[in-house]
This record gives sequence, structure tokens and C-alpha cells, in this order.
Amino acid sequence: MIRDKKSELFAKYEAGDISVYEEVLSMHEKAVLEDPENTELLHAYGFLYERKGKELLRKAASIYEAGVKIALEPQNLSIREKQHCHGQLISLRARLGESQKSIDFYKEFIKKHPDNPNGYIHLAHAYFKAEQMEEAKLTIDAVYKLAPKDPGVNSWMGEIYQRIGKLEEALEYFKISVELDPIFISSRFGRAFIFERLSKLEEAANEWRLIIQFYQTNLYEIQAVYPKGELARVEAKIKSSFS
Amino acid sequence: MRNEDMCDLVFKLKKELSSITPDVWSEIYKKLAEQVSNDLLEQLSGIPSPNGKLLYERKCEILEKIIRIGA
Repeated sequence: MIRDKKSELFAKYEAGDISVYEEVLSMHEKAVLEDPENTELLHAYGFLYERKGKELLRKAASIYEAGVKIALEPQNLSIREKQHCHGQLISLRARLGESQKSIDFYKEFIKKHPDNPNGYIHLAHAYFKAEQMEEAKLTIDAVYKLAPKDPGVNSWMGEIYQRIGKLEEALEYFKISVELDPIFISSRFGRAFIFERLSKLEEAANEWRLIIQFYQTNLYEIQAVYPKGELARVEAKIKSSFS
Repeated sequence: MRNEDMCDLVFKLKKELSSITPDVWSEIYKKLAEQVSNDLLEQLSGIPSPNGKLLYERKCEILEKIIRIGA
């Protein structure tokens, strides 16, 4: 183990002193240029960028937290357009390995608002991101009793049932979700992939056609580019299955 | 009858109950929601299922704290 100025600064930064970041980064940058095959150095140099990245993600999380706080004000609770920060924050925390924070938060939310389906949906999402499928299923099944005609609930029923391998059930929940509200277009993506997995290629192609139609009618042509590529791919598969 | 079964039964009868007792259905719904949430939170308490990332995340969090204290 080497004890030098660079290692000492690195230890300080690792312990939380962000004021030394630029200095310790520049020292490592220089050291790597001089000794590019030193794996210990490369490890420390990469780690410094990783920690900076985490710092930026935490900054983003704090911005989403502000959005969530606004979304939780009583007059905003049932306005879907105000809820986007919830999902983004759940995903971001999962990337940071901090799903427990989201889980604790939405458990408290459910205690305070047991009749609001959104709290359960967000909790199921947080468990899903943490790959806790047992808990995700318990949560989504619970809210399904309260709100079986909520498109968001059905969409997450589809995601979770797909993840645990119950594909026929997932197809049905996805279908109900997008029929209840076409804005849940991601449910059609789910259906297209499941149909393809089940070798039901005509059905998969049909889903892609509906997705393309949705974007062309309601949003922008450019957003139909990727689905068009998927449709072409599935159609080619159908064609090759006949040759 | 278990709470869970009772909730299922009441939701199955939702259409009938809400037409017979439209003025109290929202109160019934709130009570049932409380029951559903209590049952769920009870089931979710304790150590998470080992088939997921949460236990690993907890281990990493503790190790990170140890590094910070040790440095």
C-alpha cells in the first residue's frame, strides 16, 4: 500500500471532503498518463469520475424531490400531469442503490392516504426497480382491489405479471390499461414484446401498427421512427417464417 | 371470515352497494382502503425477500458508512 499525497487526498475525498476533488482528480490524471498500465491507479481514477457522477445524480434527485413535494400538495394529488417527478425519482434512486428510501416514503404515504391508488402504484414501482417481485406483486394486487379500473394500476399489473412470467395475464392487463386510457401506450410495447416471445408474430406486428398510429395521430412523426423499425423487423420475421 | 376475504366480497358487491347506499359508499370505501393498506403494510414489514436487490443495497450502504468512518 502506497502512502503519498495523492492517496491521502483520495482518502479525504472518499470520506466526504468534496473540496479536494479537482486537486485529487488532476493528480490521478497525471499519474495515469505517466503509468497507464497501473490497474490500481485506473481503479482510483475511474472511481473519482463515478463519485462525481453520483454527486450529479443526487443533485438531480434533489430537484425531483422538490417536484414530488409540489405533487403532494392536496390540490395536486389527483392531477396526473403533476406526478411525473415521482417515477423519475424512483428510477434514479434505484440507480443509486437507494430504493429503500423510496419504499419507506411510499409506505408512509399509503398510511396517510390509504384510498389514493397513486401511493400503491409508486410503491409497486419502487419494489419493481429493486427487483423485489414478491413485494411488488403484493402491492399491486392490493391496489387492484381498490381501483381495478385505473389504467395505471392495470399497466403495472401487466409489468409485474410479465416479470414473474405470467404472460397471458400480463397481456390482458396491458390491454385493459391502454383501452382505459390510450396515453398508456407503453402497455402496447409490453404486448408487442410478449406476443413476439410467444411467437404470435401477426399479433406483435399489429401492436406495432397501433403504436405507430398513436404517435402519428397524437404526438410527433419522429416518435414513430423506432416503432416503424420494430414493425419492419417483425414483418421480416413473418416473411422469413413462410420462406 | 378473514379481512382479506371480506374486502374481496365487499368489492365484488360494489355495484350493488353503491346503488343501494350511494351516500355511504365513499365511507365504506375509505374503511376498506384502510383495511387493505393495513394488511399490505403488515405483509411488507420485516426483512425484505432475499430474491431482490434490497438486502445487497443495505450491505453496500453499511460498507460505505464503515469506509467513511474508517478514513
